[in-house]
Amino acid sequence: MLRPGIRRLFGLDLPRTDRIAAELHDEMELHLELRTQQLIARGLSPAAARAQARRLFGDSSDAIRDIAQHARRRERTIKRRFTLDSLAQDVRFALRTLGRQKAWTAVAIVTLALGIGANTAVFSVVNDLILDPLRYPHADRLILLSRAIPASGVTVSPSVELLDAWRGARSLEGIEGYANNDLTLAAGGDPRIVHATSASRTFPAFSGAHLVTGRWFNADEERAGAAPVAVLGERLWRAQFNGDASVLGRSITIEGKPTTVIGVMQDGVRMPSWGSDPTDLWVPFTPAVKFLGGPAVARLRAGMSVTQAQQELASIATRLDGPANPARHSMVFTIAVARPGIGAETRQSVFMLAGAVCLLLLIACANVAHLLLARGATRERELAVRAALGAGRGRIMRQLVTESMMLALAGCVAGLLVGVASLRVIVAMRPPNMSTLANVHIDARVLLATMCVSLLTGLAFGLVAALQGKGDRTFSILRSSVGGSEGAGHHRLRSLLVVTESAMSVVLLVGATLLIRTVINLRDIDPGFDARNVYAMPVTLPEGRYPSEASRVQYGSQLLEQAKRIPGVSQATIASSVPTKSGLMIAEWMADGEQLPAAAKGNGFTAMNRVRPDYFALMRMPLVAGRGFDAGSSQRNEVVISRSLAKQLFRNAQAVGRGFRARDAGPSPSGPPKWMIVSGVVEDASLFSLSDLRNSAVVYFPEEPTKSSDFTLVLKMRDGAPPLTAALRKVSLALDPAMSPPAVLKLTEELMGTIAQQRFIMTLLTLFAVLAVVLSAVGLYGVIAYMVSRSTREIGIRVALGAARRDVARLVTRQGLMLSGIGLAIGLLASLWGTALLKKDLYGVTATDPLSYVVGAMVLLVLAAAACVAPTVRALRIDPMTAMRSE
Amino acid sequence: MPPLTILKGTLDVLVLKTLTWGPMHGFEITTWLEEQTREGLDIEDAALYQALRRLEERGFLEAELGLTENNRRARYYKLTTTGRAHLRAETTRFTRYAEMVLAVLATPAARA
Repeated sequence: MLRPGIRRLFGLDLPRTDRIAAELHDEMELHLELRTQQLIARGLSPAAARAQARRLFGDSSDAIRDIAQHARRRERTIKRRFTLDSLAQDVRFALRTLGRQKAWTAVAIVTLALGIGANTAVFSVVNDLILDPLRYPHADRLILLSRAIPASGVTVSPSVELLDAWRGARSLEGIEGYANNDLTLAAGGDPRIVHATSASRTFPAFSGAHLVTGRWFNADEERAGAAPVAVLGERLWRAQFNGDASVLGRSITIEGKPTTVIGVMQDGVRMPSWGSDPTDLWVPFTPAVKFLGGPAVARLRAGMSVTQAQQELASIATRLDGPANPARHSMVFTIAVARPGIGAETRQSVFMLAGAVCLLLLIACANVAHLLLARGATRERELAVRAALGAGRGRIMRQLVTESMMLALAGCVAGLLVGVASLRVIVAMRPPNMSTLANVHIDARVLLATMCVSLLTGLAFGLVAALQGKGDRTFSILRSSVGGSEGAGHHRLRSLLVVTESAMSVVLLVGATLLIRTVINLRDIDPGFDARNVYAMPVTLPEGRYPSEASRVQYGSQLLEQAKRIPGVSQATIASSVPTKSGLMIAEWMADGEQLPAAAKGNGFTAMNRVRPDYFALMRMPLVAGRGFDAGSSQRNEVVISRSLAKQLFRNAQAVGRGFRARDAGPSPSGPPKWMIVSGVVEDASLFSLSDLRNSAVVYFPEEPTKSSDFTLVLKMRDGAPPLTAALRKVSLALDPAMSPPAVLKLTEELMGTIAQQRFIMTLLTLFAVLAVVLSAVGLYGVIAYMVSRSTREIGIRVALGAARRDVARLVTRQGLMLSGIGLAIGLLASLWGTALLKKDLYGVTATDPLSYVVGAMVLLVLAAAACVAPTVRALRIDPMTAMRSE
Repeated sequence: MPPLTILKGTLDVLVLKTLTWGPMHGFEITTWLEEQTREGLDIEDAALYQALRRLEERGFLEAELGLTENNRRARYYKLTTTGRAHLRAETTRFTRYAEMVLAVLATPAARA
C-alpha cells in the first residue's frame, strides 16, 4: 500500500469511498480480534470473550457512519487542494510562458480584442435597433398597425378615426396610438422647445412604463376643453426642476397656455416610431390630436393569430373608409409583427453590418489560431523534453489549453475596452434615423456570446497545437535538432486558414469600396438648387400668442426685415419649407382635358410649398419653362411645378398654361372645383434625401407663407460672412421674448445629413475592411515567416548550389501570393453574393461594379506582397555556410 | 469503584499523548490507555476510533498502513508536527484548568 503523498506524486487514483469503508471495516475487525485474544488470555471462554469485545467496542453503527463521513470529507479536501494547486501552477506557468514572448502575446491579444470589441459594439447596436426595440410586456403578441399606399409601398400612420374604430376590435387586447409634437415650454427661464408626445390614459399599463412620481392622465383630461395637464419626462424634470417632487400641481406654460404638472414619467420609454427622440413632455391624447406620429401598436388577445386580427381590422377599416372616399379607399393597411423600430431598409443595412463584423471576428479567430499553431510547432522541442521528463500527455495538453484560455481571457478583457470605445464612436456617428442609439449600452449577453466564440477558438486550436506534439514522436524530435519538418496536415491547416482569411477580407474590401463610391456619388449629386451659403430657420409661432393670420403675417414681415439687415446677408425670403425639410401630401392629381376616372397621376406623394416670388432666385432654381411668380400670380390661380410633376401630369407635352387639380377636390365657393394653372416649371430639388431625387413632385404656391404658423426664413449669405446664429437669436428675442429662438440650419449640412446613413455604414464597413485586411496580412506574414525559418537549410543549400537571389525571392513570395491568390478568387465569388445585401445602400454603382472588385483585389494583393517582404529579406540574408553548419 | 466516564474533549488529548510514544494502531492505543489509567476510565472503543478520524482530519495525525507483529495489516497512526504543537498547547491548558478546579475544591468547606 502506498502513502497518499506518493500516490499523488505518481498521479495514481486516490482511495475512493468504498475503499475507505473497507479499510474501516478491516481496522475494526482487527480491533475486535485483538481484544478477544486479550480477554481469552485473561481466562474468558472464546465465545464470552468475543461477546465482551463487542460490548466494549460500543455502538459501532453510529461510529462507522461518523468515521466514514470524516474520512470521506478528508479525502475530498485533499483532492480539491490538489486540483486547485495544479490549476494555479498551470496558470502561473502559462503566464510566465506568455510573458516570455511579449510581441507574440501582444499580437494575439490585440487581434482578439479587435474582433471581440467590434462585435460587442455592433451587436449591442443590432440588439437595440432590431432584436429588442420596444421592450413592452408580452412582446410576442405585439403588432404594429400602419397603412400602405399600394402604388409606392410607402407606409403611413393610420388616422385617428381609424385608431378609434380599431379600439373595439375583439382580436386586440389593447391598442395605443400617439402623436409627436415639438412644443414651446416656459417654466422660469428662457422658453424652450421640447419633444412632446401625446399618449392615451392607458399607455402606462400597455407599455409597462411607470411614473417616477405623481399620476398619469385620466379619462376627464382626455376630453375636449379639459383643463390642460402634462406629465414631465424624467430627464426634463431633473434638468429643469432639479428632480423636485414639489413640481406636482405647479403651473407651467406650454404653447402659451398655463398647464398643470400632474406627474413625472420614467426615462427610456420607447415608442414604435422610426427613431424618435426621447420624450421630455407627455400630454393627453385629446380630440385636438389630428395625426398619429407613427404606427399604432396593439397587443393581440391571447390565442388570437395575426391573420385573425388582420381580417377583423381590415373589415373595420373598409367599413370606416366607405366607398365615398376614394383617396382613402386606395390605401390598404398592413400589419407588421412588432419588430421594426426602424425602417426595413435600415434594418437590412444594420444586418449587413452585423454580418461584416462577424467576418471580422472569424478572421481574428483564424489569426489567433495561426499564432497558436505556429507557436505550437516551435515549441515541439520544449514539449518533447517535458514529455521525456515524465509529464503525462494529459498534463501537457492541459498546460497548452490553459495557455490558450489565458490568452482568450486577456483578449476578452481588452475586447471589452475596445467594445466600449467603439460603441461610443458608433453612437457619436449615428445617423438621425438611429437617434435612439444614444441610449445603447454594451449588451452583457452579446459580450458573453463573443467571449464564448473566442474561448472556443482558443480551446480548439490549443488542443490542435497540443495534439501535434504526439508522444510517439518525442524521440525523433529530440534527436533532430534544427530543421525538423512540420507535419503535412498541420501545414495544410495553416494554409487553409490564410486562404479563408483572404477570402473574407476580399468580401469586406469590395463592400467597403462599393460604399465609398456610393458616398462619393451622392456627394456629387446636383440637388437641383445651390445650397452654398444658404441658411434656413424654421419658425413655429405659438398659436396662443399669434391667433390671427394678420398677427402672423406681421411677425413674418418684421422678421424678414430685421434679418435682411444682418451683416453678410445678401438675400432673404420666406417659404413654407426648404428642401430636405419638406412636408408631404398624399394626393392624386388629374390634368385638364383628361377622362375623369382614369386620370389618377403620380405615385401619391406631392410636396406643397408656399413661397414668395424671390424664392427661386435665392435658391438658384432654374426655370425649365414658363415664368415664376409676380404680385398677381395668386389672383390668377397660378402655380409653379417641378419638372418631375410636369412629366407625371402632362408627359412630354407642354405644361405651361395647362390646368390640374386634386382628383377629390371639393367644389370652390364660386362653383365647380378650381383648376390650378401652371405658370412655370422648375428643376427638381431633393425633397428629403440626396439619394432620392425621383420623388420630387412639388407644387409651389404663390401664397404668403406666413399666413400659417409654420414657415421658414431662408437666407443667402455672402462668402466669408460672419456667423449667423447669434445674430438671428438676437433678432428673434427682440421680436418676441416669450418665444424660444428657433434653430438655424445650414443647408449644405442638412443635405449631407440626408446621406448620413450611407456614410455611417460606409465608415463602419471601411473600418472593418481595413482591420480585416491588416489582420489577414499579419496572418500571411506569420505563415511565410515561419516557412522561411523552417527551410533555412534548404535555402542555404540552394544558394550554395548557385541559386540566384531572384530565385530565392521567387521561392518565398510565390508561396505567399499563391495562398492569397486562391483566397482572392474565392473572395471575389463570395462578394458577388455578399454585396447583394448592400444593394439598397448603393447609389450610382451596381453591386457588381467591376471597378470596386478590382480595387478590393488590388488592396489585398498589395498587402499580401507587403507581408512577404520581411520574410523574403530574411531568406536573402541566409548565408549558405552558416545555414548548413548549424546542424 | 466503577470506571469514570471520560470528560468531553479529553479523549483527543489522551490519544495525542499516547501517540508521543510512537506510531500505534487503534487497539494498541486502547491497551496503552487502559494500562495507564488502570482501566479506571471508561473509554468506548467506537469513540476512540471516531476521535482518531477526527484528529486525522484536523491534520494532527497521519495514518499509514503497516503490519503488526503477527503480520496482520493494521492502520498505524502517527503524530504530526501540528499534532505535537496542539498537544503541548492543550496540555498546558488542561493542567491550568485542573489546577484551578483543585485549588477551589481544596479550600475548607464553609459552615452552613
